[in-house]
Amino acid sequence: MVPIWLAIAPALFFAAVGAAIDRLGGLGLAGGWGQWPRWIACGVTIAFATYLHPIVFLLLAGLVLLARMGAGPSATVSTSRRSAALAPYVAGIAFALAAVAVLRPAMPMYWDAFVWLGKARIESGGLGHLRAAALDPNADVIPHGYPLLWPLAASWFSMFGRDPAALVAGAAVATLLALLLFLDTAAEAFEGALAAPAGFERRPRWAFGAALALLVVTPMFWVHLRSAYADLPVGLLAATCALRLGRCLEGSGDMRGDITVAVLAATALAGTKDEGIGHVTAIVLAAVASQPKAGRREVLRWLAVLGSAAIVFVGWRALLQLHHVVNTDHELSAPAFGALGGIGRVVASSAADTRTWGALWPIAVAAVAAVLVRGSSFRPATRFAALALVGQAALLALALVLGPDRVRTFAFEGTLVNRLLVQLAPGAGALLALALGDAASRAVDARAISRSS
Amino acid sequence: MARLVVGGANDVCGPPGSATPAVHAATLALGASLGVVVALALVGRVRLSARRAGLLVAIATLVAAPGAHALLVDRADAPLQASSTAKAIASLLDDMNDLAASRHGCVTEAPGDCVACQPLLRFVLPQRAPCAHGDSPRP
Repeated sequence: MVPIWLAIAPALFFAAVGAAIDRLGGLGLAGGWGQWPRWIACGVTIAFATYLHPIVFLLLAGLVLLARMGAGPSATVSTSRRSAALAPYVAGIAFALAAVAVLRPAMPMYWDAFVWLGKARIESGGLGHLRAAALDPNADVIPHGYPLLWPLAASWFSMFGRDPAALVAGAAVATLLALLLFLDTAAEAFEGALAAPAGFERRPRWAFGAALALLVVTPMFWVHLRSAYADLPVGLLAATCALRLGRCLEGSGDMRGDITVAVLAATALAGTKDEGIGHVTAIVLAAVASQPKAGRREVLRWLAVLGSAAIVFVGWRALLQLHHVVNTDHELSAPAFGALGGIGRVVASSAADTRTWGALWPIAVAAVAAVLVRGSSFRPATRFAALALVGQAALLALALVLGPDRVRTFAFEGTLVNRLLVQLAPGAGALLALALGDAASRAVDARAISRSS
Repeated sequence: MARLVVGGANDVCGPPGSATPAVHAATLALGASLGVVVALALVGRVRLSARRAGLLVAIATLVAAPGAHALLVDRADAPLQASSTAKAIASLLDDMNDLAASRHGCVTEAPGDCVACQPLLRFVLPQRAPCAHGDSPRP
């Protein structure tokens, strides 16, 4: 069994930091069981920003203030925010998945888990050791120049453990934190920021359970839940960021909590993997496309979300450049348009591998197509979630075309595409929940009309 | 174990081409049919209900059954095999630790020699010191 109890003290510490910042800044994170993962995420993100450089922290603080300006009037609090209607579903899924993540030997078993946790071991030598090593061009820290949040989280949550069991526990708790943030957000997004718009009734709860069950029965989801890989957390954080911005599309009251969580998720995304900035960019572009007549408040929200990821991404890249460290794996190269056909074939054959993905991708593709084709039949947040998912997939594909040869080699050898699909899977699950909920609430409406007539 | 370490998180049962053709075709056809049904339901051609959603999940579980079987039975990280795999990895890590300690951290990877050893060595020596005498004993 993975000794996740090692993370209790660090989690409480980060929660206390997050709660204090929430109270001081009026960030709107408190409320419901979800306040705990929100506070912990807030504490970890702020600690990470400060760890990178105090200037990164100051810039991030400035953006949070910007986000507050885009949050709307504070007198009205979004009513569905504290809804407990989905709590039994969320609790059931969370406990089941936590059991999958924890009831296994506390030993890394897959390639990248050793590499990520090896980096975490450097940090466990003392606070700041990983940053120093990663910025030392003579230190042989492979892969060079990767963002630091994931190994840092594994080390910090393991109380600076050095043995495999402690570090596996640290990574497992970080994964579960991302999972709880996602479940909390997915439940609130499913409930919607306001009462159901005209033509819709309240989404039925079973649609939420069914959509998440479709995600949970995906074999690859289980593999990554039990690994120390960063791809599933990246996917969960990207979905969290998108769903929170989607709630802002629908809400007109105080959206502080949603924007703050979107900013935290965006910051964590950029700090975890280089793909993170791509996910955030795609999500914000989808928001812009969804609200072409946006006002100042919406623009401030988007600036806050994109800016927070950009500060971490650009800040880390600047530090690397200052110390002459090159991230060779993720340098841009001349576009390899000739490889597009090959990339498409690999993606299609990977997504169609039912042993790895079950029926997730055929169902998700059908949902995206239905929502985009019959947009007016779905609520704005659902249309936005579909657009964001398409944008994220397109940006990942673009990264394969514009990245170095090494990236395409990984894709063609079968070691990369499924992991990129893992980054999209939580967003696909969330879209299914919203779309099934919309379709079912329309159906309920139609039945009610036919009965009354 | 080596196969698990090298590619265990890249897929569930190896590359797509290694699937049993008949099973793959059947599950893929079933998955595609589910996609069509979901699309019809979302555009309002098929009425959604809790019972039908439950059926959808049940059929999706059936499509994922070969992968679930691999996870629960076949793979080296399956519940009944995970403990012995973990012990084997721990033993290998101990051996590498001893070797690295005896060589004062001067150990390097031999390309193509033991592919599965490479990430384990990264865990044991995440930050390697340069070798004093230029020799690079292999794990």
